[in-house]
Amino acid sequence: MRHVYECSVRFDDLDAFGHVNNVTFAEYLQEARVDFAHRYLAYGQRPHEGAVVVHQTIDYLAPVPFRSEPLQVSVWVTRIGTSSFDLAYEVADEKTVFARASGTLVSFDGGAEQPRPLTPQDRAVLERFTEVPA
Amino acid sequence: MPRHVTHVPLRWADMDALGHVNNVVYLRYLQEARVDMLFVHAPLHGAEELIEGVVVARHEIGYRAPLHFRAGSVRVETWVSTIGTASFTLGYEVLDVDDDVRTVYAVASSVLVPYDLEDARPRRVSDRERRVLAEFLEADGPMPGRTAV
Repeated sequence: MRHVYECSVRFDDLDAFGHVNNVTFAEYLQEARVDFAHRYLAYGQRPHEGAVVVHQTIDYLAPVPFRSEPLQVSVWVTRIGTSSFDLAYEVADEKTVFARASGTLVSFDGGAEQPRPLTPQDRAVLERFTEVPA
Repeated sequence: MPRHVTHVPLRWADMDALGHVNNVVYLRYLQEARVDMLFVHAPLHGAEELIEGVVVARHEIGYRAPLHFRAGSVRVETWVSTIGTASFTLGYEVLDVDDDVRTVYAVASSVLVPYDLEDARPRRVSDRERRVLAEFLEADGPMPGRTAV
């Protein structure tokens, strides 16, 4: 199962080339990830604890010019470790995939500044959203 | 070969609710460093097209240590790891250097594609661009590898 986040493009997201700037795609991924965590994961209710991004790869496939219709940013799980998990993302509309991305997150104790094992509850949620890469 | 060095100022709002510089902001630091490198060096070889028409095809970034706000800037070192026919790859380190001790916050790489904006299609790396990039070639620099926990 994938979580789909409807993401609006703001005029300010465009750069001098007239398309959404590369950095802004990472913001879109973050919005989708945070929306997913906030809806489903216990840690997402506590934004000062949460999880940290330790690795991310983004492949830019097509430029996004300004548009009024939102983009669909889908996010799903590809690996679950002890404290970490991998997410995959797609930024798309009905016709075009604009970017694909993947990232590793580590569940993190903000107070101790230490990684923390995933709780059984969060692990169960992540399993529901897991799609093993082909 | 030398690396291009850019000092990027930190803004207080670069930090997120976890109290460290947000992961997205690092990509902005990389962009500042990349643009700085190209704007300084491309005109020296008459390769202005390197400023006007290059798009990012891929980013990979490994976050190594949290970066907290302090007055001043963070150092970004940029180099060229490969030069292909129609693309090139930059490497970056985001770090502090203090008494020769290097504290690395992130290692990253970007695949860049020279792009003809009028025709909306990729183009080849020109000889002039190649000369600019060759000055910073470092084929065996650090890579943003993944660390699983």
